[in-house]
Amino acid sequence: MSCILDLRHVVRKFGGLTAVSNITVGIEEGEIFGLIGPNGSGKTTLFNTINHFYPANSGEIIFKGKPITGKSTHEICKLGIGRTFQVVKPLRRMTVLENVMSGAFLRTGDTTKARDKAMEVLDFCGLSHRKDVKGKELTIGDKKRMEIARALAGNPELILLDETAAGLNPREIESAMAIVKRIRDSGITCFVIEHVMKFIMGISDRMMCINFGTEIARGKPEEIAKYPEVIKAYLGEEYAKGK
Amino acid sequence: MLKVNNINVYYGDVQALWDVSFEVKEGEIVGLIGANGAGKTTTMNTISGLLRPRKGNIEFLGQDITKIPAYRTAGLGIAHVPEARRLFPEMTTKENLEMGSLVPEAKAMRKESMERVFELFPILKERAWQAAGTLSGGEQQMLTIGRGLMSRPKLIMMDEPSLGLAPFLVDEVFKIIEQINREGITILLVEQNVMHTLHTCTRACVLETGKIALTGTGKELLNNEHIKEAYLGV
Repeated sequence: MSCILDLRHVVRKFGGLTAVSNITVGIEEGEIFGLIGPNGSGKTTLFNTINHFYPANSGEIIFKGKPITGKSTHEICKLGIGRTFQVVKPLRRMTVLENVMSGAFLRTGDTTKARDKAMEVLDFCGLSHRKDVKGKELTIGDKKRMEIARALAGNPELILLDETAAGLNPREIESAMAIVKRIRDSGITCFVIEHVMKFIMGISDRMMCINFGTEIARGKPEEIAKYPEVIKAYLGEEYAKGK
Repeated sequence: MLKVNNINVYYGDVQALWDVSFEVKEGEIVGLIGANGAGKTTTMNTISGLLRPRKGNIEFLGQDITKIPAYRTAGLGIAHVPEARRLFPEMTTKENLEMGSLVPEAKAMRKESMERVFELFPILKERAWQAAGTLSGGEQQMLTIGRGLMSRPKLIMMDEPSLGLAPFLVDEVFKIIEQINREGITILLVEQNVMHTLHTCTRACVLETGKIALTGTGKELLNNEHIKEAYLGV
């Protein structure tokens, strides 16, 4: 398998605080790669450096063999990296369909085509029955799902999913897991941040745990849950005992 | 302490709650569980006065509070810890806490309340002068709960306090909920972490498409086949 996204020594600082400190990792084409770590450990910041939302201070980011470090957010999106946001960013007064169409306009200027594409991904995400509801009126779980649909509408090759299972009950988590697997099966590589263990342990091919902006463990889900550092910094003794 | 009697709530023409009734007794932790869109947040927003029921009424400590607006329910002793934090990101931790104690009774005790919050969440003291928007997710969640406590509530309603927290912090939040409760504050808790909630709460109500489908003690619901099938996925 070849590496679709290659992060080399990525660093991002906020004033005196180093949020991402020398992260090096390669995401392989067609995999689901899970990223975990305590709140404030730098997970979302790492996503933000990938799509130049917060540019990296140093290091290199290579997508499909070409460096994208320094390219602007919209260029990176056009190259094929889609994302969702942890703190959801719906276009509040637009309907779900219009929100998702806004993603489709990345690839087409034609309204009919954009609408067709949006309907297709809404179907894929199981959200077509909510298409006429305003963005702000959705429940938090549906907002997260709409963000996935909006990202998919731009035909990404790699999608960055930031806490898409938050606000879902255990049964709904299962359906969200199925969606991510379907995304991968359709040929899109998934880089996923999540705190819901059932979700991330259940879908990831490989995982990495970070703390204070640095990698502390990497491996298969069943391996990573056994690292003492991961239990100490992230899972907690009770999780380790209970499951 | 809190009685919700047969409320119907609408968003425009769409009915969100159907004849919802339940009760929270003093000293209890009552859980409100249900799928996305079942009406949990709507129920909380109605109690705190952000929404008004078209039918039914809500009593708090014997007083009818159905028509009391949200900015006044805080003064009655009901704190609302909203979903997704809703902090004032540009304001400091300390200022956010102060915002929780604007009602006169709470304002008089502001200093003590803040000491109390800092005892419960020592990290917030370290972050006192930092803008809330720059706190980590876990710290923001603690600040939201802390802000709720600043109003010296008798009843605190928490909407998904464990949302987006690392597993060990989820345990921590549930411990804090129990601690707050031991100190005499009654709690109404909305959570998607059904397992943890049913273990923590005295009683729980299950909302399904805007109606109360089941109520029972945490233990009863944990053993209920329908709950296992529909919510726990076991």
